Amino acid sequence: MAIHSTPFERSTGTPLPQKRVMYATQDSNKQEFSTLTRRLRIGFRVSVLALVMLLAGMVQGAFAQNRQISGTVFDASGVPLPGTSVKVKGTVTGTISDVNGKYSVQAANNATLVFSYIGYISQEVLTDNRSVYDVTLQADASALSEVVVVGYGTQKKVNLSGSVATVSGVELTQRPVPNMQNLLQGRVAGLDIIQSTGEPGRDDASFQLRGFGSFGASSAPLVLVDGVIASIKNLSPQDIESVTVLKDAASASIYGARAANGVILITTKKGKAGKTQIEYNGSMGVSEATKYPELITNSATYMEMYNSARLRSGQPALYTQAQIDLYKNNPNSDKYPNFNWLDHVLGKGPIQNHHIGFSGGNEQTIYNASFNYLDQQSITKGYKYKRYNGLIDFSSQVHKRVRVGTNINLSFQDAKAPWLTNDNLLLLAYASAPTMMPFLPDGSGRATNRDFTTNGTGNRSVEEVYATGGQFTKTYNVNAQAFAEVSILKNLKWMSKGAITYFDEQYKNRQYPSQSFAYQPDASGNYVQVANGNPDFNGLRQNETRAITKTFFSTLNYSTQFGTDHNLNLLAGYEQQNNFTENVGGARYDFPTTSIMVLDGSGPTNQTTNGGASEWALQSLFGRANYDFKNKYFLEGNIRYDGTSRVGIDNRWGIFGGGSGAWKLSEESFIKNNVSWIDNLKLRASYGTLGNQEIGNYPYQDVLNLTAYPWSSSLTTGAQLTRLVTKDLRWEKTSMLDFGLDVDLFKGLFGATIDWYKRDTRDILTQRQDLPNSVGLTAPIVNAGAMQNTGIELELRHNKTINEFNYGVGVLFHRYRNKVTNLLAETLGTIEIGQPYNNFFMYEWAGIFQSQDEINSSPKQPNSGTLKPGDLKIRDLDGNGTVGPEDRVRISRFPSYNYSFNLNAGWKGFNLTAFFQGVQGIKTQVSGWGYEPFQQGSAPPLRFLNAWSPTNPSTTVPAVYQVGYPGVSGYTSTYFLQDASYLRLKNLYLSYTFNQDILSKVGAKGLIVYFSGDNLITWTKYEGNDPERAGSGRFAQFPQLKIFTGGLNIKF
Amino acid sequence: MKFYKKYMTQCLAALMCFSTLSSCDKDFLDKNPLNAISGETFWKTETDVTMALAGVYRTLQNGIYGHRKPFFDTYSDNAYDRHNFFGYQAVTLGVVNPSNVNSGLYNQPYQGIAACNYFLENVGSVAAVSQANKDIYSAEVRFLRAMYYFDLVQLFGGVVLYKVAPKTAEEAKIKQSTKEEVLAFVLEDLDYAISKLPATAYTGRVVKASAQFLKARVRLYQQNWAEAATITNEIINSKLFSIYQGGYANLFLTTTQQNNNEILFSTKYLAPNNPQGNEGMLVEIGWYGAIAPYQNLVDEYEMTNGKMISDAGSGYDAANPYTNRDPRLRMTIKAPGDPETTNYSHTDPLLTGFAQKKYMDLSKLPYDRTKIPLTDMNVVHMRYAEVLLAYAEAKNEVSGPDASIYDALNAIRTRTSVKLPAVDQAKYNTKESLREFIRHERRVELALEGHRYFDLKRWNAMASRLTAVKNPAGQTLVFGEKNNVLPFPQSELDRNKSLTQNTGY
Repeated sequence: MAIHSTPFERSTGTPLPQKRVMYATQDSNKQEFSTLTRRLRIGFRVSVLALVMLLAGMVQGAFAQNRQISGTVFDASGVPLPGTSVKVKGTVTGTISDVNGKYSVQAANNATLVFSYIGYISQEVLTDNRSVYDVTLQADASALSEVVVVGYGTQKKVNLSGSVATVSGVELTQRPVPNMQNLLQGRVAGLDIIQSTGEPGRDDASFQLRGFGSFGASSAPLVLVDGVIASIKNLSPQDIESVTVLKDAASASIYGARAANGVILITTKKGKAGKTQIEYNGSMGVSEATKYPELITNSATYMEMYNSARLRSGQPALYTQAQIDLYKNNPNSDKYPNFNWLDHVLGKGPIQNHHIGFSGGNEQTIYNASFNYLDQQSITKGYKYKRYNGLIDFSSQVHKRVRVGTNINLSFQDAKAPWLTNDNLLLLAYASAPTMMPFLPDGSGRATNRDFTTNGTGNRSVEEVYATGGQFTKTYNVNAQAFAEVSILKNLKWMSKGAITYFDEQYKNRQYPSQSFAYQPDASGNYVQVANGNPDFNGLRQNETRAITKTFFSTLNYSTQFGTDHNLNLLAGYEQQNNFTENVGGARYDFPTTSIMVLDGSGPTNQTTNGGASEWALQSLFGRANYDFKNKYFLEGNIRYDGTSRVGIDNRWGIFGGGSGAWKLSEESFIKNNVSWIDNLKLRASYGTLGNQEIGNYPYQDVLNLTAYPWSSSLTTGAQLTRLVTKDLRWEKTSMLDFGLDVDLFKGLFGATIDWYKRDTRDILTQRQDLPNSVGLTAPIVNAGAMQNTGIELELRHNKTINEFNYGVGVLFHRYRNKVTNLLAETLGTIEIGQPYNNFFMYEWAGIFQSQDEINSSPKQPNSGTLKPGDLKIRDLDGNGTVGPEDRVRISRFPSYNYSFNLNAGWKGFNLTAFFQGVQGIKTQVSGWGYEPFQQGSAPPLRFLNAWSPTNPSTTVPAVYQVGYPGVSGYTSTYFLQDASYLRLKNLYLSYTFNQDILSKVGAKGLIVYFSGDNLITWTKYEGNDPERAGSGRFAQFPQLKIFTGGLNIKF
Repeated sequence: MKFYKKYMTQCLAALMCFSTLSSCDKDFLDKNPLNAISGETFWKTETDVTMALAGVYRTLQNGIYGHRKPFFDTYSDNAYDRHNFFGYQAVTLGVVNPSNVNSGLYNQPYQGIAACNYFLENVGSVAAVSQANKDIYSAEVRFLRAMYYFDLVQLFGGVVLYKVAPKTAEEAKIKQSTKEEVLAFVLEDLDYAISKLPATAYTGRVVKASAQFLKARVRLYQQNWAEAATITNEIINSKLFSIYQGGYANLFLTTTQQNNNEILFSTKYLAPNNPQGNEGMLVEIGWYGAIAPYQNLVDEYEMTNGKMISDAGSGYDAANPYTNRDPRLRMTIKAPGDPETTNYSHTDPLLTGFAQKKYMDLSKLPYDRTKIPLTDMNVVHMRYAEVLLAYAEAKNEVSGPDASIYDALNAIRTRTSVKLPAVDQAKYNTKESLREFIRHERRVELALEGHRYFDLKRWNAMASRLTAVKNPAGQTLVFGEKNNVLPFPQSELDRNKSLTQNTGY
């Protein structure tokens, strides 16, 4: 029997496991039985069915020679499964399993028992002469039975008319990546995620759903954890039950003014009724840099190149021939090293993670409590990152009509980092000359700063930074929620939730001097101190930020069925949120020892203080209506009325909304009755309008900033108007049209989801670009323009089981085109109507000048007059004989497409998954250390060994130059553009699940051991350390991580 | 069904009640800035006005009016802009263009003007402030506005003139006024300021002499020598100012700058809460050797006997080039072999061999970078020595050499810590020879204080002076006719289509 989704189920804030209802059916407490069946119609229906079957069985029993057969039904994790329907095939006899999963039924010999349960694959068992049959039902992972979380409720996936994607927690945790943000990469078509770096605790990702939505307000999706604003970063990946992404405007519009860039709904794990389960998941791993570029490390070559580069810029040589000869004549000695600084700085970082969870419950109460500990070391020195997570979820049926519960997420992150991080730290390794080692060769452990005393240093050395302090961040997060659900009537439910999200960050930046030396001793053989480690200051700067966000929402949900074919579900709700953020900080200097970490450890001389605060509030009414006819035609409408403190009182309130419709062709008789291999075929269409309120806190207000000026020996407080203000700001709105197709064939063998969307953002709130600087004020925020993203998302699925072997393939593809459609003021070349936003606008590099003759006969170059053979040659696009600004080309910053694919195979207990992810056609502009030779003395990349010279007429590598040399870096050209396309084996996961027989001997219910490797192989043309990077900028970046992990998962 | 309906209605009613209740709580969505002041509630009390006035003064700490001011000398034959931090190299090579011109030169004065205009438009309406006070406050602000506009004229020629602040982007997009129109407005502001400001010594707020001297500078720029001489003479006769005898170098150190009678106007800083910050250390400790004086400047310094090094019998010893020289040399420029050398060693190699020393607190040796962000040296805009030099220059142009001119110059040359011989009246006894000597004295006395670029331009001597200098890359410095004014930044021309680019760019 097809138990199709009821409207009730859709609207449940917290999905109730239907199993729990089944306890009630077997409960002797008739009162409880009746109310609960009223509450959930599935239960009611099943119970009626069971009753009918029972009666039928008794009738049948009177005629046939039957015997008693009994047993227990378990789920895959060994938990008893109450409420399973047990039918004797070909008869009307049957029963349902009780609270402990036990059943008992009358059946003849050689009968076939059919075990079925919603969400599980039905199983048939042929009886012989045994009387006890224990059965384990496997969860049905096929999309058809999946129930997904949507805004303020849940819905059966097959009934969705909008574009909604889901990812299960199981799938996410295959990757051993510590930061939850990065786990979603490549898992949802249309959701493009870029991890910025591999720094422990600082590896936040940037999210972009369906293209680049706004160039003024934030373009990041709204993230809700159990319905409330929170940061994903604070969660332990193991605590995630599922992630839902509301992609189209109709689905997201229930979140109105916050949903312009889509909505990501994260649901944490809840307890399940039944026996208490203890689960431990532990892993140990090691991380290393995916890759880093090779620079010239031969000191003599480096010194000679440096001299000739300086000569080319008209500067005197840096090294004397005598100095060069020292390195030439004493190769690879400690005193005259050829040192590879990147090898030295980048090493291995161990990672360990432990997660333990306790869950269980009974018919009234369920709970889930877990604790997670993560310890991640960096691939460099100077970092330390520990994260502690706690999750407590509890809910209880306190009255026959009332269910209450709480959900508390806690996290504490303890992070230490050098006081220079990311590219600021790594560029120091690039800038350090190969002519010296990090410490003096005398074994004293004293840090070095430069090779020869006489040479100025380019910059600090990495070891100087390590030796002069660090920054310490302690972050506390609490996301505490409480809810109450009241079943006012059978079809009417009232749900209210209150939540407090608390954030506290304690930040300390402690720096102090530490002696550093020149690597080469002076004439008398003594090492000379040349610097004090170059910290930024000598003292302690401390800051504490607290933020509290209060959320309250309340929904009323009414569902009904009229006639036999019409289902209607209505939702109405109210929500309010407000945030208050405050920070206070201070600094003191000149501490007596370097170990003191509190302000009172020094005197008040030159001490400073600072403090600030801000707040915002949002208030909303919303509603939704779902209607379906015969389970074939689906209609959904969402509306939200939002008021924000961030917009002036006249334009404060905005209405957002959308509608979607779906037609399930597979339910039409011409398919259902004729084409048996089509499981599901559905066409979808939706349109909606969303808002974006992430525009800063007070964009419309005339604000005087407080400042000060010292007229005398004390400061006088001052007030300054610093920006022009537009008071009549309107909401930034995004509308989206979406057409989609879902298809599932051959009982899950093939499946596809295809979506086409057109997303228009208008009235984009951003700073006015054309305000003359002569106004002397910062430009106002205005409704400045419009942008369009058009894209296609494709998801393909294939799963097959051949005896004990099963495998699956999944492919995701996303391609979009971004276009600016309206602007208050264009910026030539970069931001223009009809073009992608923020194009690269640069000269086109055409080669290397081979001779003075070639220079003379070529079009006049942008900085002609100083050109020499070996310089870059720029293309004269319009052929007028002069390369001018009009010869610059426009190149999009957006990728051609994003894709990922997933291969998995299972055989007996083994499971192997390979996950590939890639970005194609993306360009990155790079500069500085490691790319341009001798920026602060940084060694040139290896390709400069093949640089142009009169005797080596290279056409790809210019003559060795020094950064800033006008012949190469005098203007921006495509020479600085790199193809950052890549495909990488993001993850390889191999696991073995031990079988139940072995486990029962040790008293365990499940044991999985696994090995997982992350970022294992990368295919790319990019020359730097990793093509996956947060946009253009310095060539030197903190690398991404390759992580090898082994772990186990055990259940009791 | 009836039963349901009843319940349903009740519940919806309850929900709506709740919603309405919250919605009625109007405060919920009214959030105002907590660490700033709303413009609507400001301009009520005397405190509001003094706060706004302090806000106007704060624009003095903006870039070229603060610690970047000494960099102006790298626009001239005095010093080299070592790292091209502020794009000054292009100017001395004659290749400055709308894309590489330092846009701060344009933006920063206008930021000051915006603050001035905002103040002047609002101060009148504050009933709680006496007219007398309003006049003084307005006079201070109009002085500042005049200074900002005068600098724009010196840099760009005719510029966009806002006598009141534009309220919208459209209002702001206007054509530039002529140089004369802007200067007329500058003089109008200055005359008002002179009439209202107190005739007292300078301690941190604008005084009458500040405005008078700015007017004198404008007159020098216009080559209205007579008026320049008259005004500077008035300042001299006020006797409120004098040559500081506590040491030339101490004029540029924060403790000795307080209530210093030589200073007429400066940008003030105050550590720890209002220091120059990180960028200030480019000047404060010669970080990166950013300002690299040329040999050409070093050679300008006399011998202690008052002779130029090229003079016969000067006693100049090429082997010991820095001994027996005008003491101001080693107080302005760090020469090779100076005792502080090791303490500078954390900087980059000095491309010209010299580093700037003026504005450095040598008592803080050895330099500890960690303390530098707390440096609060005041940037001197006007000092009495310059008043005397301006008087000497103007008076000489009006009537040729006279005793008052020699006195003025000698007052500078004979200050404690300098003690050079008096001007050789026999040698510099014509208008022309004395003009050259005044220019020489002016270059030395005011070296690395940001005046040289403007002086050479108004003397029309930029091109001839620059050709004598080669930068460390071996390129001869160049100054073309068009370079007398800078090009407007391309970004500004893109925004304001009514603005016409200066001739030649």
